[in-house]
Amino acid sequence: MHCYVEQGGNGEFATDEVSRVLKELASAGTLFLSISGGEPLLRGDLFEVIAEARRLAFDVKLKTNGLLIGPEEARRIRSLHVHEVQVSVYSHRAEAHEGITGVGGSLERSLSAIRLMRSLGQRVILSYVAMRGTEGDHPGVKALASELGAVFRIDPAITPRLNGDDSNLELNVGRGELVKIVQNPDYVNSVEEYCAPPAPADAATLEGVSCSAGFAHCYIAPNGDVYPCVQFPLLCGSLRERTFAEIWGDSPRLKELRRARNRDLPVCHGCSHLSLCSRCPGLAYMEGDMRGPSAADCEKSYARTGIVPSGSPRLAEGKFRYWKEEGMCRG
Amino acid sequence: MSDKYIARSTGIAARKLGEETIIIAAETSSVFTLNEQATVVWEAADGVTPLRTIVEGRVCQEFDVTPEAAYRDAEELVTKLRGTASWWFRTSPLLPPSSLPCRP
Repeated sequence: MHCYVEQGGNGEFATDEVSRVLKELASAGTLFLSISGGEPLLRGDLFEVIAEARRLAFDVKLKTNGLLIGPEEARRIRSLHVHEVQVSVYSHRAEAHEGITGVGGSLERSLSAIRLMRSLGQRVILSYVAMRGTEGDHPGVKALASELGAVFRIDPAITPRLNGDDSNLELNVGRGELVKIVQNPDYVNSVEEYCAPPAPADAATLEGVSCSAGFAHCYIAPNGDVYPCVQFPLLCGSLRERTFAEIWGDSPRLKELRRARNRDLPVCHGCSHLSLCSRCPGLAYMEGDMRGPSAADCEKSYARTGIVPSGSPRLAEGKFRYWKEEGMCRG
Repeated sequence: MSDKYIARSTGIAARKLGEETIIIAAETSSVFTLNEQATVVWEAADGVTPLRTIVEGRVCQEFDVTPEAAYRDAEELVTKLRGTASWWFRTSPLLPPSSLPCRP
């Protein structure tokens, strides 16, 4: 319904191919490995993959809906020392949650999985995605997380699908609700710091980048295609054709991405929000230019500070793409 | 003085980057960076080699340090990491060591 990941198989890697890639990643110095989906437990060899990753001393995180986690799966996750398991819960109300997942009984099954894992001492993140229709459910989901002994996290943004389909943006909460979220201590540790007016960009800011995609992390699709990030559909190579080290070190597209410092961004370098903006180059790429602004972050920056960024004329005109609601714009 | 034995826990994540090693204990979400000397101790922590042998046979061979000073540093390192579930500490050898996470 809202997920940005495209569905479909397209030649998933076999177990031995995954194993080879894990060894290449470890040799390249990779420490953190997040396994997500779709739904990773649909892979029959998931625990074999995790065991190999742990044998190679990766720090493993797992993102799942929990529907396929029973006592045995919970025990295996725990025994393999998975660092944390993230489970999405859209509402504490079964009808609302199941209206989004489309699976009857899914809330109780996800909660049951969380209970099983927590009973074994597994660290669990309960992730709440803010969406229209469930925007008032944040306190209820937070209470649920507390009751289950899980860590509560909020994701305030629905982003376009990787194939460019942005019809799911209609599911984003309104601007007023976004402001409530980004100015909520459940979202950030220090609201005062996070929502403070932006400082002028200094030399370090101009030499810096807003995101570590392609610098410190990347996304590997189930078929071995390598991208800078799960939200950045810039194909940089195939692990069926080249090694990870070759792609990571030699990809012209990754090199181009890494060359772009804040001072090189044609619109953003002059924006008054440059020093605090979390500009997503992947979303910018989907909007037409990886060095351009990403509307979601312009809008979030406005929600954080209440100040219309000078480099975002669309916002000054009240043209919001992600969080559409009248009555807030000062421009 | 009784021998001391250390072994890396199966619950940790670790990666050697250059001469240093980053370790993460999932149980406590603790992150540590081991320097060159500590990395040598970490890599040799197989549960069957006494700590003193690791210090004298490895650390003192690779670094310009006296056995006493190196052993003192190694004990301090072991003590610091004991509370993070990063490794086991025993007064007898651990057998067998084959269940330890291997290094890439």
